[in-house]
Amino acid sequence: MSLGEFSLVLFVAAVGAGLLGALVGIGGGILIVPLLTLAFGFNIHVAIGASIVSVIATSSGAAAAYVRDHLTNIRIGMFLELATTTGAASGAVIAGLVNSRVLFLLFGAVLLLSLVPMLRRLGSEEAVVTNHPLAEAFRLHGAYPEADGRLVPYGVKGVPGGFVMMYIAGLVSGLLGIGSGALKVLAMDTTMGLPIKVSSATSNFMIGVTAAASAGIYFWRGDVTPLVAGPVALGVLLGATIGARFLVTFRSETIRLLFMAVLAVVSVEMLLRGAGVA
Amino acid sequence: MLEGVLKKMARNGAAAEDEEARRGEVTLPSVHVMEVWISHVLRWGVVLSAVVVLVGAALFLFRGPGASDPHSLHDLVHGLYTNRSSLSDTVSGVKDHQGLAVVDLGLMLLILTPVVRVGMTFVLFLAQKDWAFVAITAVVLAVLIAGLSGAGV
Repeated sequence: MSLGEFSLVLFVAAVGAGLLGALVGIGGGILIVPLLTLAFGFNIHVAIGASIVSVIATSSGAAAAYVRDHLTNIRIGMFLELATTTGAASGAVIAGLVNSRVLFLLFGAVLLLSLVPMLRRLGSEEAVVTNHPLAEAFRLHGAYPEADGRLVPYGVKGVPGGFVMMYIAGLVSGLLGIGSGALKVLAMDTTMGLPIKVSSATSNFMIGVTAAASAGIYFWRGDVTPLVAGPVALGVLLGATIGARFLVTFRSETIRLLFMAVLAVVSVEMLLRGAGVA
Repeated sequence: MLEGVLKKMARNGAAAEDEEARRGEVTLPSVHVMEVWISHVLRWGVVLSAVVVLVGAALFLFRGPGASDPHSLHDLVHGLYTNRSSLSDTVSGVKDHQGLAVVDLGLMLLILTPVVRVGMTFVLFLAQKDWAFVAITAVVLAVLIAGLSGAGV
């Protein structure tokens, strides 16, 4: 197979990953690293470099739409980006120092953990009425429009806890080349008590900036291979765009469960690779 | 000049608000200016990067790999190549019309997109004289620029 043909194969596989990610409501990033390492046999550093770039592409596209629809809380996003960007930069530095087997083990573990929030639906909690003092000081509270145009005001609690979780989300993102959107949503939804729509939109807003903080480091380290990262970024972007346009209503429970089973198998494979068994 | 740009941004934001008011949608003044511009920067940044990556890919297909690029699938999978990992390498590669250098340029533009977004947020917080957020955004920008400048590699 020529290099041109191979990059076309990578592109098509990435379209699939982007579509699947959009279909079940996760970023395509978490599928890219296992795809490139387990299926195509790439070094995990090259896989992470390609993945982190594709994460910027998909999250920026989605974030543009959410921001336009007033669902994103830009102030909360900016405030928490203090934590995610420093986390991501430290994650990228650490990734350059540790053995690839450690990265396989961590990736498998994070993938397995990311299945937990998929098992239960988020976003059923009571609206926050009293702001945390820090939320008051930084005017983090806001209001979002419902489908009928009605504005729903919301408060913010648990700011320090959310901040710490965001540092960890950034660390995981920088270390493994994923968006770690699940962790970000968890921090905002559960710890800070934000409405689920605002949490998802603001998480997307932050993912691109978080990824950019580590992508530069990967780039200068020589881990962003254009023949891999180029087709993968374009493919995931196309897949996610098609997925968001046409498949958003197509959220079958069977597909979700099937997908979770696949993810579970993949995470075990990653763990085995890390342990040196496979 | 900066003031002119800000005024233009405010005008465009106001125009968008008027349009939404006509359509009977909610308006969130001042935040709105920011939302419209951020949305544009994110969308067009991604589109531009994707186009540059595609141009690079086409160039690579026509002209083949450069000296340090992988020459076969075996080279690629086994890491027998050297990535351009400095701005000057990429620029000289682009000048030589090397496809993969152009792909790199597109990927750099992609990485820069969220950074430009933060830069714009900084300017807009500055215009609103929201000093706490000016400081917060400045720190985030500093972290991003440190990463882009290759600190910590």
